[in-house]
Amino acid sequence: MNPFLVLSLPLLLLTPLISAQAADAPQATLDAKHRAFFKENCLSCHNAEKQKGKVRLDDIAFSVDSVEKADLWQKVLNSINSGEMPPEDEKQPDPAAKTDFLDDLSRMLVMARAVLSDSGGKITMRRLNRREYKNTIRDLLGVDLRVNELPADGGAGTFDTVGSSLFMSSDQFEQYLALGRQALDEHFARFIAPPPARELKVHIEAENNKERIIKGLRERTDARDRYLKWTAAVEAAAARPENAALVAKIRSEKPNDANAVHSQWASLKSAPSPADFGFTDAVHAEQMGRRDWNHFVPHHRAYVEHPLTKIGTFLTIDDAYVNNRQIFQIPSEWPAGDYVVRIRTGVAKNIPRERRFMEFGPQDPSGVCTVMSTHEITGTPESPQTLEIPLKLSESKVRLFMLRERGSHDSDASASRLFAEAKQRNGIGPEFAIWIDWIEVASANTPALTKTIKERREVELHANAMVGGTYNGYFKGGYEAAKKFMETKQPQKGILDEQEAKFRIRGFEQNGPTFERYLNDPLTKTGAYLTIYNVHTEEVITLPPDQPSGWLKTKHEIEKAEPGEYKLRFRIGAVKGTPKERHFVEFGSRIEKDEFGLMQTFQISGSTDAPQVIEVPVSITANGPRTFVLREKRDVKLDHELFMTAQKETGVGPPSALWMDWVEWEGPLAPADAKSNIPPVLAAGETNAREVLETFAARAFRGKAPSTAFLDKLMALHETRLKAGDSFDKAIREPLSVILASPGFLYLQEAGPQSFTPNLLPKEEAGKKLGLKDERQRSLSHPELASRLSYFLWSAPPDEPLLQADLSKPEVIAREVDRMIASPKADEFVSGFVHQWLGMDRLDFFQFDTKQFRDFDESAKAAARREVYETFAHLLRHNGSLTRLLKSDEIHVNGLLATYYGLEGISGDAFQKVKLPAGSPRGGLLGMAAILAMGSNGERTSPVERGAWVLRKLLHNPPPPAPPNVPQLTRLENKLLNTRERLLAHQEEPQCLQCHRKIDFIGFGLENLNAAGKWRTEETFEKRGVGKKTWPIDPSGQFYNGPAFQDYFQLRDLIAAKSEDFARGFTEALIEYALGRPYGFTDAVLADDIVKHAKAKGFAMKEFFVALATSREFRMK
Amino acid sequence: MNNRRHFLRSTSALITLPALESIGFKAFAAPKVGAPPKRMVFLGFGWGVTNETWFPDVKKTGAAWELSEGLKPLARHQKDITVVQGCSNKFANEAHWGSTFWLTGANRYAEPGQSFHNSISADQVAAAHLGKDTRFGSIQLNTPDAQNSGHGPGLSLAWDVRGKPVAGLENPVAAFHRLFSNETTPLSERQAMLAQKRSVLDAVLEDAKRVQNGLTKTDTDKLDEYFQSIRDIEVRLGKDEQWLSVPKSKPPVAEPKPGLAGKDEIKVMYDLIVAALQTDSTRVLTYRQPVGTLLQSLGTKVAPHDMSHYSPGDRMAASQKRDATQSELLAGLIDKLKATKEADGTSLFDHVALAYGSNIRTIHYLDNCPTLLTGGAAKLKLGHHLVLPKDTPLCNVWLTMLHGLGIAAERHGDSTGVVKELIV
Repeated sequence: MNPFLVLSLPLLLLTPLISAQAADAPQATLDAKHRAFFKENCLSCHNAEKQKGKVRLDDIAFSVDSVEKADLWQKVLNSINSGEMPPEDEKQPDPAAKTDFLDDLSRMLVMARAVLSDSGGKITMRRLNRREYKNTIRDLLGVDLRVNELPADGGAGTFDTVGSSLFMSSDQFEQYLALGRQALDEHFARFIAPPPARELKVHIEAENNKERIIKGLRERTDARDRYLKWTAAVEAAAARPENAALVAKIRSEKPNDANAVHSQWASLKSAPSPADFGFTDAVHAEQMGRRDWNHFVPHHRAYVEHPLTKIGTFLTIDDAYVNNRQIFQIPSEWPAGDYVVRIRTGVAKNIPRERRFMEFGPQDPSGVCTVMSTHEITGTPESPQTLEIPLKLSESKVRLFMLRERGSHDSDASASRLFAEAKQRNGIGPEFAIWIDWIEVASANTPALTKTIKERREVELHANAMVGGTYNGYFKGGYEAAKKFMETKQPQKGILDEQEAKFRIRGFEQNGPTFERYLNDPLTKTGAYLTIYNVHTEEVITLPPDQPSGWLKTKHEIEKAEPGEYKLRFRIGAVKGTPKERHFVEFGSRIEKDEFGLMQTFQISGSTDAPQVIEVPVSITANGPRTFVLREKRDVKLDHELFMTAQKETGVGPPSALWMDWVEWEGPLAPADAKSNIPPVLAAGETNAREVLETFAARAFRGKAPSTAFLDKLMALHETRLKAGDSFDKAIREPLSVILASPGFLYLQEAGPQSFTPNLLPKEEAGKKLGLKDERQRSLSHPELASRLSYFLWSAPPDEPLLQADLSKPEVIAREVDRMIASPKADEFVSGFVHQWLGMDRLDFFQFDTKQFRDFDESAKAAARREVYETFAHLLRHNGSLTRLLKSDEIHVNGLLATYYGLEGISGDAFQKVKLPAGSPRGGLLGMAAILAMGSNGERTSPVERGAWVLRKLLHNPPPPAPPNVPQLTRLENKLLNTRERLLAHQEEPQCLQCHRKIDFIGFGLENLNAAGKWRTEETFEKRGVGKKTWPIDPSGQFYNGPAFQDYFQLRDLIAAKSEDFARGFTEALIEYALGRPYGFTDAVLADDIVKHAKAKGFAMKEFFVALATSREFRMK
Repeated sequence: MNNRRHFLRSTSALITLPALESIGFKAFAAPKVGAPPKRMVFLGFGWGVTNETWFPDVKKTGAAWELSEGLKPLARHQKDITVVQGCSNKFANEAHWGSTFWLTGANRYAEPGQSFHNSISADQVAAAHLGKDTRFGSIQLNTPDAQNSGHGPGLSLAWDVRGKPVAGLENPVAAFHRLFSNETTPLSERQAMLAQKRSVLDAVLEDAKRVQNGLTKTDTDKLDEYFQSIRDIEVRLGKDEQWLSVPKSKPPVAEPKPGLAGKDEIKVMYDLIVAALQTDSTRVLTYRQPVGTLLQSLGTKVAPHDMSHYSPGDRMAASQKRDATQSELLAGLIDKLKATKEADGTSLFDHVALAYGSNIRTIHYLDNCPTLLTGGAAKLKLGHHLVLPKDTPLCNVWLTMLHGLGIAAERHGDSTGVVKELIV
C-alpha cells in the first residue's frame, strides 16, 4: 500500500553511515597574479613610508585568516568599489584588470567571511521558531494558535531554524506565557468541557437582501422623479423672458452642457430650489437624479428583475447598492471550535472562466476583508453545488465573514474599471456571474453533521454502456461498415482500404460473440462480470475529482473527495461451475494509466445467487492514488493465449468467473473519536494535580523528564490559585501554561558531550584546525535524535512511534524518514524550507499592477506559490529526481493556475499532475509563475534579479552580495532604451561589470516571460515625457566564460545540464536547515558525500534526506 | 525569593558577559530637583533619502545654510534643526540594512565563529541612566511593515547590552495600551498577581537549571538569553512594584484606531511619543518607522526597494515624495514638542535630544548617513549645517548627544571622540 516502503528497502543493505572525514579548512587567498595590479595602483601612496590616510598596504597579507585582515581588505574593496580609490587625479587602472581584481577580491572576501564565521561544526541549541512553536502547540493541545504576536524569526540571511539567529527577549517570554494560556483555555473548552448540548447552525437564504435592494431602487427612482420635476421647473423658469439674457450667457459659456442652467438655478428668476424637491443642493440633485441614475440604475434594475434573484443572490462588482459582497454573521456567543460553512452556489451561463472564482474570508469591523481561501465554482444555478469550507473559530471574536467575486476587489480602481468596461459593452454593468442560493454555518464536531459521502454505484450502468458502446460502435459498427466497403469499394467511416476492412471483419468474428454473450447474459442487467482479455476486465473505482470518468459518467453528484479515511465496499459472487482457483479478486491502486499496484487479494466465497460484501479501508491523501481497480486474480500476460484457446474451442472467450452487483464508497470517516489523537490534558474526574503536571511536562519536554523541584514549584502555583478561589480546572491552567514557557518546552535541548559518558568520539581534525575547544562529540540520545528528525521533517515534535523507534540503527532512521515524508505533516517542511531556500519572500514584496497583469491577482499569486510547494512535495513523496525542478514534462496545477497558464481541460481546486503539451515553457522552476514573478518588480521584469537568482539557487554560483557605495549611472536619464541596452550600459564600470557580466545574460534569456510569468514576444516601455518604445525580445545570450544560447529553451537545457551544481546548492541549504547552523566549510565533506550518494541514485529526492538524517553530523552533538 | 535572586546573580557570574561597549561612566550628573528631565528620541527610516534633493548644499554650511528641497517642510524649524553630513558606520557593509547597526556602529563579523554580531545601541546606553525614575526604562516603537522598509535584522532600533535585539511595540494600539492602559483590578489583587508572576519566574528558572546542566559553552550562552529575559522581567516587576500604587498617567491622546498604516501610523506614533514624554512615562524612545506602507499611503505604486534604487522618473518622484512627507511629519512632531509646556514654563522641545536618520544614505550607499538633530536637551548647536570630514564615525554624533545629556560614556561603538563642532 505504501509505495515508499518498497523503495526504502535497498537502503537497509546499503547504508554505511555517511561520515565526514577530516577536511582542511579552506584558505581565503587572493591570487598572487593581482600583486602587480596592487603594486601599480595602490602602493605608491600606501607604503611603509607614505601611509597616506594612515593606510599601509605594502605588507598586506594575500591570505586572510583573521577578522582584522578581512576588515582591511573590506576597506580596500569598498574604496575601489566606491570609486574613491585610486583618487581621480591619479593614474586610473586598466578597466579589464580592475574588473578581474574586483571580481576575485569580492569572492575572496565572501569566502574569508564564511571561513571566519564557520561554526566549526557546532550546532547551537535553539528555541522553537514561530512555525515550530505553532505546530508543537497544535500537536500537544489540538489547538491552532495565531502566532503573529511572536517576533518574526531569522532575517540575517539564514533559515529560521538557525539557532544563532533565534533570540529570546522578555517581551517574548511574556507572549509565550500568554499564548500558552490561550491555547490551554481553548484546549479545555474543546476537549475537556462538556460538548455543546445542541448542534449550532445558522441558515441564511441569500435572497434576504433583496428587500434592501428593491428599497434602494425605489429610492433612486423617487430621486429621479424629483430630479425630473425640479429640472422641468428650472427649465420652465429658464424659458421665461426675464431670464433670457442670463440663459443665453450660460449656454454660450457651456455650449456642451445641457444641464448647465440647472446648476445656475439660483441666479434665475422664479426657479425653484432643489431643496424643495428633497435635495441638499444642485450638486446632490445632479448626482442622484442624473449621474448615479445613468451609471448604476440599469445594473441595479437588471439585478432586481433577474429571475434568479427571487430565490438567491448574485455577487456583483463595484455597485455598492447591490451586492458586491455577501456578508454573513456568525452568532457571537458561538464558542471556539471547528465549524463548516456551506454555500449553495453556481455560476451563470456564458461567464468566462476567470470570473468563476469566489473568495471567502473574515471582514473586520472597519470593513477590511481578508481572503482566506478562493474557490472555483463549478455548479450552475440550475444544478448548484454545495461548497464546503472548513472554518476554525478561535477565541478571538471574529464572527463576521464575507464572500465576493475574486479579482474585482484588488483595488477600487480595478473594480470601477471592470464596471466601466462592462457598461460600455452592454449598457448595464458586469454580467451577473456567481449566484448564491443559501449559506449555512454549522458546528463540524457534532456527529450529525460530520461530513461523509456515501455513494453506491450499480456497476452495470457503466459497464453495459462501455461494453455495448465498444460492441456496437467498434466491432459491430466496424463490421457493417467493412462489409459495405467490400460491397461498394467506397471508403466508409474509419475504413479507408481493404486491409482495414478485412481486419475489422476478422475482429468482429473473433470478438463479437464474446461481447454478445456478455450483453445477453441476464446477470448483466443487474451487475457486471469481470472478464479476461477484453469486454469488461476491470471495475475501476475513482474517487473524484481526479478522474471524471467512472463515477461522474453515471451521474453521481460528488463535488469533492477530501483526503481522509474511506471505506470501499463491493458485493461480489463467483459464477457457479467455474474452477475454484479463479474465485479470487485483486484489489489495487492506479496512478498512471493502465498501472496496477496490487494492494490486497480476496477469495470469493459468495455466489451470484448469494453474493458477499467485501469492505476495504482506503486512505486518500492529497497526492496519493484515488483510482482503485478490481479484477480477477491472474497473470494478465497470459490473457491473449487463454482467450485464443477458448475462442478456438467454443467460439467465445473463457467464461467469466466473477460477478459484481455493486460497489460503494463512504468517507471521509470521522476518526473513531476525533479527540483521541490529542490526549486531553485533564482526564475526566482527574484530581491528582501533580500527576497531571508531570504527565503534561513530560509530553511537552519531548521525552525529557521534569525535575522534582520544578514540579514542586508548579504545585505551589496551583495551590496558590486554589486558595485564591479558583476551581481545580482553572487552578491547574496556571502551572500548565508555565510549562509552555519553560526552556524545556521552548528549547531543543541537547546536553554537551562532557555530561555524557558513552560514545565519546574524537572530534574532527577540522575542528581543531579552526581552534575549537570542544574536543569530543557524543551520539544524541533517542529522544534528542527523534526531536531533531521531527523538527527537520515536520517542524513539529516527534510522535509516539518515532519516540519508540530504535534510532541507533540507520535502517530504522531511513524507515522513519520514509514514514515521516509520507505523512501530511511533512507539508510543513515543504512550505517552510522551500519558501526560504528559494527566497520566495520576494513574491510578497510587490503589489502587481493588475491593469497590466489582469489575472495575476492575489488568488493567482497564491496558486502560483502553491505550485512550487506542490511540485516539490510530489517529487519528495514519489521519490522523483531533484533535477525535475530544473526541467520537467509535467506540472502540478489546480484549475485556477491551469487557466492562468492557458491549459485546457483541468478544473478543480485540488492540485493535480498535468502532462505538458510539447513546446510548453512550463515544467521546472524556471517556468513557474511564482519564480518568474519574484524576478520582477510587479511591473517589469528584472533580468538582474532573475539572473542572480539562477546563479544563487540553481547553479550554486552565487554572486557576492550587492556592494555598498558603488557609483550610480546617471547619464541614461531621459533616454528611451530597451532592457538590454539599459543593462549593458550599466556594465561600463568595472565595479559593476565584475558581477553583471555573469548575471545579466541569464536574465535576458528569460525575457520571453513577463513580470507575471506569461509568454511574450515583444516588450513596450513608456516613459512619461520621453516617449514610448516597443521592441522584439531577443532572448539570446551567453554564460560568462561558458556556452551561448539562442532562446529560453536552450537556456533551460543548459541550466538543466548542471544538475550536480543544483544538487550541491540544494544539499547545502538542506544541511543548514536541518542542522540549524549556517552552512560552513566544516560541512563541505558531508555535502560532498550526500551529493555523491544522491547522484548515484539519479538524484532521487529521498536519498538526500536519508543520507543527511543517517549522517554522523546529524546524529551527534 | 532570596534563593531566586541569589540564583540569578550566580548565573550571571557563570556566564561571561560581553564587554560593555559604552564603558567607563563618569559620575552621573543628576539633574537639579524640579528641573524638567532630559529625554532622548531616535527616529529611524530604512532605505535612506533622495541623495540629490535631501542634503543641503555642502557649500553653504554653518548658520548660513539653506534648506534642501526634501527638507523644505521643516522651514519653520530651520533655526532649531541641525543637519550633519559626512558621518558613517565604518563597518556597515550590508547594502540593504538601514537600521541594524545605525545606533550601534558594530562590526557584523567581529566574532570569529559567528556570522552575526551586534552591540548595544545608543538609546539603551541612555536608558540605563535616564530610565531609572520612570515607569518604563525605555519604549521601543516598531512597525508591522519593518520587513518591507529596509531596516535589516532586528526587532526595533534598540539592541541590548549584549547586542541582542530588543522587541518593539508593533502598532499604535499596542503602544497606547502599554503606556496608558490602567489595570482595573484592585490593588490587593494586583499585589497578588505580582507575587504570582514572581512564582512563575521562580518555576521556569527551576527548569532552566535542569536544562543548563551539562550544556556546552555556546549552548549556555544561548540559554543565557533566556536567563537575561527573566532578569529583565525581574527588573520590570521591581519597577511595577514601585509603581503599583501609582496609576498610569491619563492619556493626553485618544486611543488610536486599529489598522493605521503608513503616514497615519507615523503621525499617531509621533503623537504617542509626545504623550509618553509629556506624562514622563519614559524618557527614552526609539521608533523604527514604516517606509513601505508610507509609500502606499501616499498613493504611489512603486515598491519600496525599487524606490530606493530610483532613477529619474516615477521612482525618483516617489523617493522625493517620501522625503517630503517624512519631513512634514517630523515638522509636525517638532511643533507638538514645542507646544507642550513643562511645569517650569519651558517647552518639552527644550528637554529632548532627537536624532532622525538612517544607516543608508540612498540606493546602496552607506556613507554620509542622513542625520538630522533637534531638541534642546543635549545642548547641541542647532540651526546649523555641519559638513564633517568624510567617514567621521556616526557614533561620534551619538557620543556627543550622550555627553550632552550628562551621560559621560567614554566611547560608543566605533567612536573616536565627540564632535566638537556640535557642541555649543
